[in-house]
Amino acid sequence: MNGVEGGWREILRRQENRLDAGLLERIGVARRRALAAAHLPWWRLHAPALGGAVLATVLAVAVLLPSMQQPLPQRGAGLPDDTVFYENLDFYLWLAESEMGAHD
Amino acid sequence: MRQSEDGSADDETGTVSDLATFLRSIERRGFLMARLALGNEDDALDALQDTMLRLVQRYAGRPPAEWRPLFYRMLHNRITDTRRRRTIRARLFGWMERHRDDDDADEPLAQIADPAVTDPVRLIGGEEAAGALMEAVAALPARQREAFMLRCWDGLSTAETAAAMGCSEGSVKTHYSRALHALQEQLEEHHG
Repeated sequence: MNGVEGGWREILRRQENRLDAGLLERIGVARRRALAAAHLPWWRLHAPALGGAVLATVLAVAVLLPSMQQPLPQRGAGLPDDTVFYENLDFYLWLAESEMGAHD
Repeated sequence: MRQSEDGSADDETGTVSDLATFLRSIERRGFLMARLALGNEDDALDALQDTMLRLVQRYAGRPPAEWRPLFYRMLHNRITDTRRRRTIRARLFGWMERHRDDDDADEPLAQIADPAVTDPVRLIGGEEAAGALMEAVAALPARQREAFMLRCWDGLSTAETAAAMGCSEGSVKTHYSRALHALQEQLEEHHG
């Protein structure tokens, strides 16, 4: 390091002692807050992340478990499997309309 | 990596008291560096606090000799994050600010530049030489400024600076050399 750099370093380091009292107090508060974290157990430091992970797991189980316990829907379940029904669909529609007309 | 007087690396784990002493020794410099890079006192304080907190949470168990480069590495990352967020915010809300600028066109107070943003000399205060130097440092490109602050201001070795900046020692030498050259030119102009 030459003389110019040494002079610059001196100037810059002198600025560190020119900070006002209010600012130094705020810096001190920041340091004390940071150091307070050193006294906490590890799980307290990561409490938000741990809490989030636990919550996400509980929600996932609550959502997925009921659907896992239900039987899978069978192919064509709830529908008549007789193809004759579909072939005669026009007849059933006509019948339904006729009955509705009779009631009117 | 700092070494003890006998030349061996200091591998001992530090205590909370060591950590407190270390933070006390570096906090003012870290704050000034952040303020110089961000141009804003509150943002600089936030960056400093986050950096100290992360150091305590993540690296308190590491050997004290590693704390300094780690501290500067995290401070640099935090500063970069803040600048990136500002850029994104400026892009997102740029049109709103343009409208606001139009609205402020007739407002006399709006015509005065914010000294906290544009004048690092005012941020540091004090004598003319210091003001000129701080202004010139603030005007450097980010990587050059970082290399200069770590090498010249803090006195880190090239290897420690490389670790703090996350680049090779060759890059540090290049950035630092360019920074010195630019500062000399700027300050000669200022005095000449």
